Amino acid sequence: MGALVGNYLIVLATRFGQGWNRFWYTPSDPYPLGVMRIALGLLLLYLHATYTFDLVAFFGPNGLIPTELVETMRSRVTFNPTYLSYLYAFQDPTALYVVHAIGAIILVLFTIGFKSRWTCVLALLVSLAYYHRAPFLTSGVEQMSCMMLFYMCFGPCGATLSVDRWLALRRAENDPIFARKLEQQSTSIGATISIRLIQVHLSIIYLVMGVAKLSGPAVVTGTGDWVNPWHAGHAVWLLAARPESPWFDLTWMAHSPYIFQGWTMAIMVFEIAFGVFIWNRLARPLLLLFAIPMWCSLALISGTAPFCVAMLIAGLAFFSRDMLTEFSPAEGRLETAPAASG
Amino acid sequence: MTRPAKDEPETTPQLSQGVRTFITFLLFLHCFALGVTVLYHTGAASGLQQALFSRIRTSYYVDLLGLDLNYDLHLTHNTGADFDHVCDVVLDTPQGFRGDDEQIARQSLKTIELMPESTWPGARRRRLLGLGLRVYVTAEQEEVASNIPQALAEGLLAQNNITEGKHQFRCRVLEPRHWEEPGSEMDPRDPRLYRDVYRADVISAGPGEWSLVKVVSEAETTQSQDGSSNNSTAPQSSNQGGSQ
Repeated sequence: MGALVGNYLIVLATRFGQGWNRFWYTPSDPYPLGVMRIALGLLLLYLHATYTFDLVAFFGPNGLIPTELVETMRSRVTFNPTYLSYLYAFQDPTALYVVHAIGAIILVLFTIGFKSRWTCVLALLVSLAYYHRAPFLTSGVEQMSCMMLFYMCFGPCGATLSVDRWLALRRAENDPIFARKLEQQSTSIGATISIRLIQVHLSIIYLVMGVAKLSGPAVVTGTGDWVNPWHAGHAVWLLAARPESPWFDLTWMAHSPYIFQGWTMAIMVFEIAFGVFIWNRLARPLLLLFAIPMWCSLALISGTAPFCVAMLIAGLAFFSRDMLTEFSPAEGRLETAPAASG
Repeated sequence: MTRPAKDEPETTPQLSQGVRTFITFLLFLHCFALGVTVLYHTGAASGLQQALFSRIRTSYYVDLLGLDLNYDLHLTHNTGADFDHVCDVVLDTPQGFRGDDEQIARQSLKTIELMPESTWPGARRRRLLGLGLRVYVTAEQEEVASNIPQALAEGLLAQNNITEGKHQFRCRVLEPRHWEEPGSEMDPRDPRLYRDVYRADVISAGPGEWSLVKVVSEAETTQSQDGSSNNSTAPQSSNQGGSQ
């Protein structure tokens, strides 16, 4: 009996190790990172541009968010990460605009994929600078962006669809040795680790979103009749009936409760299903397609369009060029498509 | 994507065993920190979850890199923190000002809005609504309740070149009506739908310096006398930080 258990544990450890190595260390195509880099770069540029109008109003001499306020409020929660935000050093309007412009240039370079290894790290520092300077102003989109940027630092995000790639191809035309080296770098372990980290993090986010909706808040004080709107089916109504957030007036839904009740249920089912079934290769294209109308519609009622876009961009980590060919009838592989996860 | 490329061995020996072990160790640490964060931010955290998050300092790591999951995970739980919060400063308020819009209109009082109606939807609007939310979330934490309102009031007044006088800072919330209640077709911006969550008189304490004195409503006074200051829409001491 002891030998049986011992053998089982050895097999378990061996198989787990093999699976772990296959999951994290199989070289892969960095193409999804390239697509994500461009999309994320554009989103970051948008977020950065929207700060331009309020830069002095927020961080200037008579700003709404003086450094002392942030330090006071942050020290109550966690340690003070001031040193990661260069914005603490600037209050003069001209200086603020200069560092803001430098940040914009870094983001442009990151988006076009110039010196991507460096500009990705710098873009992360730019994003973290705003994130830590004004935590009261941040929402999910900043955290999603930082998450993607952090993980992209580990992979060759500029290996495809980038200026770096274009320059490398030009050099390869005249340098056969470099051309061979470039061909060998068509797949990389760095890309796998980067993409896998985004995938794992994203599926955790989806699962937590679903669970958070179902579980209710940590504390509901002084009321005995609180009902979880996600259970009761009117969560979407509560979102749509807010005065400032939604982009469109959807209060006409009061006449058609089935619409917002069905919508509420669809959101919950989708989020939990995404967190679990995205790892199934057959379900993956379906979930990625469903994600588009789901997040677009949520953007309308929640007013968090940038966050919804960030979620769609993060979903690109599950996209691959293989996906297009694998399910293409012309490839004749439809019947043999493996249903295994990964 | 993550499948082995054509004509590639399943795992190309690009990394030595030692490097791979080291990376695996880092991945484990990272996943552990994420796992603790997830446990901490989903519902009420137990003592163990809180200890893992704060004492082992996984919070340092995730917060430093912006990987925390304390944002809009639930979208709404029908608590006060899930609604829209708007702030403004009513200028030159008369004695006995009650903070309602009717009085502002009747007495032609001027207001400086933190988020003017013309503010573009999208990121700018979310940031300003986020500021209003922070006022709400901290409103009942005695030691910090006035920190954000003070900064906002001082900033708004200074940006409008107002250095003297007595004004009032207001933070208001709208609780959406139940869909079955009559009036659900009302204009969502109807002033009658707003409720004060924080009001403070902003009193000049010298040129360009201001002090805040919180205005306690009659309802709050009655509640505190009854010893039951909590109500269903009071700020939650939730570790989820509210939706943003």
